[in-house]
Amino acid sequence: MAFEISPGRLPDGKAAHFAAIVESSEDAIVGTDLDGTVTSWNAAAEKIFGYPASEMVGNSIMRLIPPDRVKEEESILARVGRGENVRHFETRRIHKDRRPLAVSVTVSPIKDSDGTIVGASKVVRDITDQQWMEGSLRESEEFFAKAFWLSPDCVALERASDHSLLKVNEALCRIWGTTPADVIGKKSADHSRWLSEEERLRYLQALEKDGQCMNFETTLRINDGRLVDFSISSRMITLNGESCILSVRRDITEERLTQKALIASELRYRRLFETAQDGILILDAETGMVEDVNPYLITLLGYSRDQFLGKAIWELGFFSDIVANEEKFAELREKEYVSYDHLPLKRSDGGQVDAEFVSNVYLVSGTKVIQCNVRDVTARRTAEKALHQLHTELEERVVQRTAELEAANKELEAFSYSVSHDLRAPLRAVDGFSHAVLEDYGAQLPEQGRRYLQIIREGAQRMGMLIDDLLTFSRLSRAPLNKQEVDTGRLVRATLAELKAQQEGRQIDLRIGELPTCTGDPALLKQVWINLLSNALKYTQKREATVVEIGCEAKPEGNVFFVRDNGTGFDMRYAGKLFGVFQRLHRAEDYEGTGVGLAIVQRIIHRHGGRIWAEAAVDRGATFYFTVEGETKP
Amino acid sequence: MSETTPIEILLVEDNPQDLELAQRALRKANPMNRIQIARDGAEALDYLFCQGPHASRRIEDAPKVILLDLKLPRVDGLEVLRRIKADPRIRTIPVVVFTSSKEQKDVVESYELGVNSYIVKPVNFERFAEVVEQLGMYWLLVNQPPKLED
Repeated sequence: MAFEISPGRLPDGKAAHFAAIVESSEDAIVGTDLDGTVTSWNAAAEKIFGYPASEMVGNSIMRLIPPDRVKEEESILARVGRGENVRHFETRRIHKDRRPLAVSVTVSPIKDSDGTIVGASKVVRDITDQQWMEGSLRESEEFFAKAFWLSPDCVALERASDHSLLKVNEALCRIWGTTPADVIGKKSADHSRWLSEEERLRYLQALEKDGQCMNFETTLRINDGRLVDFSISSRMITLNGESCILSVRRDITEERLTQKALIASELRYRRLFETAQDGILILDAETGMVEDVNPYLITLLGYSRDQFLGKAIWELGFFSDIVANEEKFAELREKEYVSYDHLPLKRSDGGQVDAEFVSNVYLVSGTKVIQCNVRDVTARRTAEKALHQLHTELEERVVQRTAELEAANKELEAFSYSVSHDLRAPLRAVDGFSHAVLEDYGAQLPEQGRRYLQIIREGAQRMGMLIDDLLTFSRLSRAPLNKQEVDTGRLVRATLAELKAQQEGRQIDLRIGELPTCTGDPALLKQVWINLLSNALKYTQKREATVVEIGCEAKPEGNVFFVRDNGTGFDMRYAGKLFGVFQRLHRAEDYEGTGVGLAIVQRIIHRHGGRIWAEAAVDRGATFYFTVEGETKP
Repeated sequence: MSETTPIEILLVEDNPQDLELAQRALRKANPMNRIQIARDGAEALDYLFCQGPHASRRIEDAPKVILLDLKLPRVDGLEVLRRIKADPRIRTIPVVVFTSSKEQKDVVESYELGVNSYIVKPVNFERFAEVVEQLGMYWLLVNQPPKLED
């Protein structure tokens, strides 16, 4: 009990009565002197500030004052010192535990018996809770107003009686293409948004029936005339005694699109699943239970859908090879990707299907599933087998054909051997005995008889040459190519040296250009040069001065060798016959020959992969060109 | 032809015309040539190895040169050649293959078997005679065969 009151002013009974009132007051009642030293401290003061009277009486009141309020306190004390009263002054104080307090203070001067002001009495009411409540309410109101205004959904409050709008938010104004001022208070401002009156009435009926209407989906027309899907949720509320409708309209276009896309996607994949030409089995990765199976697999294996569903995969007979039991299934799950190229599956009718099997594990909404793809490769395997068999047969046929070809080749060899050996023997007899007649009985024969025998001999000899050339041609066609690098220049000079020996007495101007090496069979290429060069010398024999030019031109297709002469040439109209066997463009009495030489040359060039052609004119010489294609060096 | 005079040429030839022409050419080159004729490979072997009708002949009296056709009835020329070259008693007798065949196979095989010369019979008789004459000259006169041991 720390309240003191000036003695002598009141009778004892009254003083005690006041003291009781002070002590029981809900407000803190504090007395100070003019220096601010506390002189009295009631129970409520202890309750509000946390300090007991023992801690406050005799100490400065300033410990309760926040630093920023010290000046204020000094000025109050000054005013009180002048005898003024300060009423319901709201300020801040500090609790013993340092928390700020909102207080309302009334300060009055205390006078002694002489009427001198000796101190101040302060009545302090804690208004912290009150202030917080007021603040909260204000904040809350602000919050809801903001929430209302800023909601992305269109929010409206309308009077139920005439559907005039009381409040609208920003989203509604934006989407409606209007301003609050344009619509607030307007009756039925919202009607034109509805596509039909029936729809609007249906909505209102639903609302009236239950007092609320959740997720009423409809299409409304918005500011630019576009039709937008909305979901309306509304509720009947009573505001200031009036029945109102609070409605929230959500634009669900996006949602609908997403949903549509989702449905479309689901449909697409469902169709893929349903129409896939591979069997697909979806398993719960934890339990191994079949969750789904597509029609293809049902048809493929001949089990019904019900026989699949709700069964663990190891209970299905046809997979016994890979998932005979739960442990095996665990393997399938742990490996995450399993594939078998060749997996025999048993059909319900006992038949067998050759399958390729692939399984993989993935998450669907947090749940692991295993998808097994089963491809029927029975037809492919059958085709592969057939192909393999065909291949084998083909190989056999190739072997057989090769053998036949070899036999034919042998026969041909035997034939040419026979020609070589047997055909010439009678010719030798014809020639030999004609010679014997001429030698032994020539003197008894008339001139014409001797000439005839001479013709017989020439015929036999010519036939001998034909046979020889034909055999050469046939041999060159069959002999294997022995390819190597050939020094063309050397080959040509050697050939010319041999040929020139038979051309004594002729004036021959040989012009040999640069001749690059080539790759070919040296013996066969030598035959080419022999034939071309001897032709050049043969068809120039009637020229007084023979010119033979030998050279090589670098062309895109490779090196083109040529032999050019200034001989009798030929008519290009018959160039097509040039390389045929026994084809001759000149009469035998003009130029001897069997007509096989160029055929041999062409055969050799072709066997090397090259090309040969000629350019000529009658009496103006001929040029033979050839490549040893693909083999000539660049 | 007397058995006592040593045979200088063994002519193995089945074709009667070739035979006659060869004989004519050989005689022309040297009328004194002593020629033994065999009409096939078997006859040639009988003569060379002193068998059958030639059982009384001494193998030491070998011919100085053998003219051997390749394509022969019964035993062919290459087989005759193989048998000659396989027997040390007669392998030193020069063998000239004298044939129509220009086949490389025959030429190579003959040389592999150790033939001394390989000559293709020309159709032209003058050249035929020339070759025969040269054969006679070379193998009978120029080429001195090693003496056979008794």
